[in-house]
Amino acid sequence: MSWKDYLDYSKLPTIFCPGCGLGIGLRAILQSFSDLNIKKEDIIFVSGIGCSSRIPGYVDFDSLHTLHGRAIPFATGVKLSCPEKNVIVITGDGDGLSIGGNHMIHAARRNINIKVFLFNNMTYGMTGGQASPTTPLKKYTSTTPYGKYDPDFDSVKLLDGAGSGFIARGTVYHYNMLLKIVKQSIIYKGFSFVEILTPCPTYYGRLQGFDDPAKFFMKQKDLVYSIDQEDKIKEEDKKDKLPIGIFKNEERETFEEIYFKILKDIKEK
Amino acid sequence: MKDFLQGNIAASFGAIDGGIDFFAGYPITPSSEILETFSKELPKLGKIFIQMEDELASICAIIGASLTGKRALTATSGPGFSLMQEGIGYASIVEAPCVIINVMRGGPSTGLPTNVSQGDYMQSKWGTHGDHPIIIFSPKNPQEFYWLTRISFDVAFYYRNPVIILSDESVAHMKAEVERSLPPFDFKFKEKRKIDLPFNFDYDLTSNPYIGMGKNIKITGLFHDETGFPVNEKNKVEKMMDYLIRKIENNKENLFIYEQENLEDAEIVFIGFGIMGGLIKELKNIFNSKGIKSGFFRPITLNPLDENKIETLLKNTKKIFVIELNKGQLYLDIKRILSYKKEINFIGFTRGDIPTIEEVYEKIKRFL
Repeated sequence: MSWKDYLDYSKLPTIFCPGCGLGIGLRAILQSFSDLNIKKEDIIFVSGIGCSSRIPGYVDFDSLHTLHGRAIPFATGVKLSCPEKNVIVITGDGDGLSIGGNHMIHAARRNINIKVFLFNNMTYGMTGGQASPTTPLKKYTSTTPYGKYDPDFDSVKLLDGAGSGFIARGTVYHYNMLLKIVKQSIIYKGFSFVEILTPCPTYYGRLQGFDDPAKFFMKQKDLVYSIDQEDKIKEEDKKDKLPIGIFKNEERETFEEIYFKILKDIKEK
Repeated sequence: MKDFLQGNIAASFGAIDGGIDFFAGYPITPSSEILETFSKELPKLGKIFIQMEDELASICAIIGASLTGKRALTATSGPGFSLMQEGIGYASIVEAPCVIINVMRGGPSTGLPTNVSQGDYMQSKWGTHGDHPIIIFSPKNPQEFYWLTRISFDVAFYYRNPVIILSDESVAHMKAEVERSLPPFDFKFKEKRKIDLPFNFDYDLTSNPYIGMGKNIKITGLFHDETGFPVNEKNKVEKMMDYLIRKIENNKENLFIYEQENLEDAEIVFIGFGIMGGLIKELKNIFNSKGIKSGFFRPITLNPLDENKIETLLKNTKKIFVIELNKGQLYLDIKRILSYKKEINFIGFTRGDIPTIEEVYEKIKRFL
């Protein structure tokens, strides 16, 4: 099955702005389903509120578009009710790391077998380009007209501290690498976290002085470095840049394995 | 067979006997015994129990489970119920058949965590933003708490709507004889029209597919079309809103249950809900023994209220006393329904306890 077969064409076109990177990210996820031969009836998308959270409306399988920040607890209810399904959370930097940050760390700690794809465009696109927890210090947004006063946080370190066994970051510019990361995270057993850097030229890019979406897209290349080449890059060149790649891939017992084993033990007693 | 059970534990067994599949919750006084009972009982039954990180997560987890067709429930109190309001609104717009137990404690805010109150009557109806359909039942004792929780899943699935069980600290912590028997309420559950799409806005009650069945079900908290895809065309939005409200309003005769005595020829009538059920019945007895014809009326369903039924039941009475553990909430509804032809008095207590019958009697005497 081609990646296109996972799309619901009757719902197109999308509401995304010209130059938005969300479509590329969705393509990587759908391509992974196709490459891994996952059936449509075995997938459930769950999202919160925001630009990226509108993605589930365009797919040809079950999807839940829920409340701002709450995609993960909804996904928890769905996954424990349908443990055999691939439950996939589509979220953004505001949805998943600000209003929904608490759910993110607790789902990582529990190790429920859900896959989180967090589209980081460093802004609240849906509401007009306000500052988000991943907007870097001193950047301009519609709520930081004098430059952002507070720094961003590193989601990779946050998720590591919370106990996530699979942590990765990719960009929509580095598509082939992103595809590899997404596939790995779907194969991984347990809670996985993938941050996908994606440009928002309409709001974030414009306020940083980029008049052309293509130029802002190209800029992604200069903002990251691959962890595979970490040793070869000088420390000063890493400054203000984000590493991309798979940072952690270690399986441990999932919540479902532990819980369903307890049920089995009680039954056999 | 009768057991001697605490209200919270009776309700937990009610949910178990009603076929609960999924519980998610977070500790809060005075509802924690429900969380604890399920933590022990559900694994034994092969069902899902999960303690979430907060009430926001708890309500969302049970909605997620209920959208896959599972019988899902959460229990909370005061501050936790406030946190759940956004989720309750979501459940009502996506027609998620979930059940929420709210064990009322004194409020606002942290208020009186270990004491009784009935201050969440209006919040249960109107706590979440926007017009929305909701079904609310309120038990007077552990036995009724058991029955209402047991039947709540059937009601939630039949109407494809969240159900709130509005209990309180006294009903929840009172110990009493409870029979694990079929609920005696006369709800009618008819065969429903089968629809292949996740939503429909033409017929009042339908049976629709769940997520997880491989039917490309889309669900969103935005106004949506019958495939579950967001819409904002005004005619579609209005049609959907009309349907949501109509679904419950058109069925209020079936949903409205109550308890009453001597309403036919009562000069005075005492009205209350939940834990006040015992007190208003006793008041009726006292006044009758003193030669004043009196009756009592206790709505068990707090939403929808069947206004016509209430008007008919109380048509012969001239004087009404609404007695509540709040500053006058059911009172507002009773005034709305009957005010233009009755004398309606309110007696409220917000001290965190249940008043003695003598205290209430003295207060009523001043009005006579």
